[in-house]
Amino acid sequence: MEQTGKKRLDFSSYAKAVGFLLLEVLAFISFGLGHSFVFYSILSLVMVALIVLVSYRQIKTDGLMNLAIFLFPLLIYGVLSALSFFALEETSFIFYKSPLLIFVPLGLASFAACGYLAANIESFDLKKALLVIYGALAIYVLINFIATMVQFGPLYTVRYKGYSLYYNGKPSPTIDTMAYGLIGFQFAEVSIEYYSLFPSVLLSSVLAISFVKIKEEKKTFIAYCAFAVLALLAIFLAITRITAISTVLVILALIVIFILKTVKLNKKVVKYVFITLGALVGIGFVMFALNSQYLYGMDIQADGIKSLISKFRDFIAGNSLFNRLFNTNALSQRYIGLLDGSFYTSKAFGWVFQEAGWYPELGIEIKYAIESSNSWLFDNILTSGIFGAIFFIVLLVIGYKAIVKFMANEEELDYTKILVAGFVTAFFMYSLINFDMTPFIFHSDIHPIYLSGLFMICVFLFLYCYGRNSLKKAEAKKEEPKEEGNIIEEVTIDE
Amino acid sequence: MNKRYLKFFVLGLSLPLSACGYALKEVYKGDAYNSPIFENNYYRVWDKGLKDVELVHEYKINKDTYFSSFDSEMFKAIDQEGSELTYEVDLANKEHPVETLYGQNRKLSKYSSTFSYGYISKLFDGQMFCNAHYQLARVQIDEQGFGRKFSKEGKGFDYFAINLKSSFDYTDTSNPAPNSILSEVDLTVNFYFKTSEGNRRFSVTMQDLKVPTNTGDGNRRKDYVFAGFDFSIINTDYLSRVYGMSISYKYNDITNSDGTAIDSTAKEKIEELDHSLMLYEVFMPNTTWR
Repeated sequence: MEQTGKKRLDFSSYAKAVGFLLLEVLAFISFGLGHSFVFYSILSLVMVALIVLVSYRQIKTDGLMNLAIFLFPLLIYGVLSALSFFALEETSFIFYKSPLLIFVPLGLASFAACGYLAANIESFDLKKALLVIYGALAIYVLINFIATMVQFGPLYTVRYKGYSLYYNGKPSPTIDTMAYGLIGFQFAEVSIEYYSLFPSVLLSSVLAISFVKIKEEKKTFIAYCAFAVLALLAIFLAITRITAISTVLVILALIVIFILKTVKLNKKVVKYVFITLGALVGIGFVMFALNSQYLYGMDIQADGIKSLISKFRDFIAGNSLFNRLFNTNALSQRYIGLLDGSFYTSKAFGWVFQEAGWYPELGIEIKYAIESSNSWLFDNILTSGIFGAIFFIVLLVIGYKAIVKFMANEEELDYTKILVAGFVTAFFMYSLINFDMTPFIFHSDIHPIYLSGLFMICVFLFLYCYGRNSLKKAEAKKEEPKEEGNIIEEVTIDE
Repeated sequence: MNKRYLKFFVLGLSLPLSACGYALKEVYKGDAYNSPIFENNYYRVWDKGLKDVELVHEYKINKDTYFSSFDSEMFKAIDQEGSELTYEVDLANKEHPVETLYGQNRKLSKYSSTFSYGYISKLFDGQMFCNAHYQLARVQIDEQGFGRKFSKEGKGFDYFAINLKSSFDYTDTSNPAPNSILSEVDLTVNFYFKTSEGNRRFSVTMQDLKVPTNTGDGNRRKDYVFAGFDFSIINTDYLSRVYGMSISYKYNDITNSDGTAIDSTAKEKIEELDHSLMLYEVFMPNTTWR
C-alpha cells in the first residue's frame, strides 16, 4: 500500500542545538550583563519558541495545564509590578513609565516556561546546566573580587571603616559600604550588599562537595571546590557586619538543606515542623503589620478598627520582648515605614520613595522619605504593592514544593538536586535582609528584584523541577498496571 | 594535573591579595577642610614631583588679554554658545533648568568622568556658586596654592576659565572684615606637560585681577569674578599631553568695591587677618582627555 499524506514537520533533531543554546542563555544571565532585563526577556522568548519547536511532541497537554498553574501567580506578580504606582511614578526606577515594562510579566513568564519545557528535552542535562550557571557566576564574582581588591585592597572594610572618598565635590558614603563591580561593560562603585549577593549565592556550591563522586567526576569536584573557596574569599576580604550576618544566615540555611538531604528524618515530622514554623512566621508578620499602622490618612469613620489597632500597638510597646522585636531594632524602622498604610490606601499598589501627604484630621502636612528595606519580603510591597507581594510569596511556596518533590526523585543525581535547592535558598535567604535595589553608589537607579538575573535563574530552576515532577507523574501513570476485567465464566472451546 | 590546578589557583589568588587599593590614595575621615579654624581649611596639597618641574615659559597677561566677566565681549568672542547660557541669576528671582546653566554644560566632569573623583572634583562639578553649600562647593587656597595631577592627559585646549571670590578670616569675630571690598591679586595657573625630554610646565599669570572679597555672597552673582583666557596665546607645543595643573596667587592690595582706596588704618586692621581665595569652578571646555 502506498504511503500518502503530508510530511510531518519534525525539529526534534535540533534538540541538542537548542539545549546548547539554552545553556548559553543561562550563562549570560548568571554572568549578570548589567541588568539587561530586556535582553534576557527577548532571549527567553526566542528560547521558548525554539524549545517548543523541538519538543512539542513530548509535551503533554495536561503538562501544559500544570505549567499554567505555576505561571498564574508569576504573571499576576509581573503585571502588578509593571502597573504599580512605583513603576509609573518613581522617577529613579530604570523603567519609569517605559513601554519596556511589558517585558516584566512577559520575560518572567517566558523564562519560567523555558525551565518547564527544558525538562522535556532529553539532551538538556541539569548537571551541565548547573556547572554553566555556577561557572558563569564564579567568573562574575572573580571579576568583581579582583576589581574591588585592586581599587580598595584586602580587608578594606575594616582598615578604612569610616573613611570616605570625594565624588562630585562631596564626601561619598563611607568606603566600608561600597565595593567595585562590573555592570554591563563598565566598572562602577556598587554597594557592598550588591557585591556580596553573588558570592553568597556561589557559596551554595559547597553543597556539591559531599555528593559529587570524586573518582567519577574529578573535574566537577575540583570546580565546585574552587567556586566555594572563591565565594568565601570574596565575602571575607570585603566583610562588613551586615554581610557577615547574611552570610551566616545563608550558611545556616545550607546546613539545614544538607541535613534534610542526608539524615533520614520522619517526613511527616519535618512537614509539621515547617508548617509550624511557617505559621509562626505568618502570625509574627501579621502582628508586625498591625503594629506598623500609624493610621495617618485612614478613613476616620473606621473608629472601631482604629481603636483596636491602637490598643494592640500599646500592648506591643508595653511588652519589652515584643517592643524590641517590632519597634526598637535597626531593621524594624525600615519595615514599619513600608508597611504603614500599605493595606488601606493607594499604597496597596506600590509606593514611591518619597511621599508627602496632607492629613486634614491632623491639620498638618507630613513629608517623609520611604527607604527601601533591602528585603524582598518588604520591598515587594514598595515596588509591586501588597497584592504583588502576596503573589510573590505564593510563587515561592509553589516553587519550593516543586523543589522538595524534585529532591525525592531517585532518578536525579544527588548533587544536582542539592545544588538546585542550595542556589535558590542562598539567593532568597541573602535577599531577605540584603537585596539592595539601588546598587550604584553614585547613581540612584532602582533595580527591583524582578529585574535581577539571579531571580530569573531561580524561576527557571523552580519550573524545571516542576517540569521534571510533571514528567515523572505522567510516566508513573503510564506504567500503572491495567486492572483485570472480572471473570464471569470460563469457557473452553473444543477444536 | 592536580599540581598544575593548584599552582594556577594560588597564582590567581595572589593577584587580589596583593592588590594595592588604587582608589584609596585620597581618603578622608568625614568632611575635609571644614574646620571652624580658618587656617585649617587651606587646601595646600601638591602631588609629588610637581614643585620641581622646570618652567619653560611664563605668560603674564593683563586685562587686554584675559576676561574678567561672564558678560564681557572677550568671553563672548571665545565661547559664543557658552556665553548665551545662564551664568545663574540670583536664586531668589528665578530657577533655571540644568540644561541652560553654563556651569553644568561646561564642567570638566562632563568631558571625562575621572574629574568626578578626588577633593578637587569640587572644581569640576559645575557648582559655580556657594548657594549655601559653603565648604562643599569651594576650595580655599592661600598664596602657596595647590598642585594636582590629572588622571588623564589633555590636549586640544580651547580656553581656561575660573569662577572665584575672596575672603578674609571670617571666624575671627573680634575683628570682622567688611563685606564688599575687592582684593587685587596676580592669579597664576601652571600647566604641566610631558615632552620627550621630560616633564615641563608653563605658567599663565592674570595680573591685577580684582576679586570680590566677602564673608558671604548673599546669593549675589556680582560677588564673584569669572575670569579666564584663550589658549590660543599659548605655544601649541605645550598643549599636548598636559597632565597636571596648579593654582596659586600673589596678594597685592585691597580696595573698596568702587575701586577707591580704603582708609589706611582700617586697611591695616583688615590685613592682620588671613587672606584666601575661594575657588568654585575651573573650566577647560572642549578639551580631549585620554
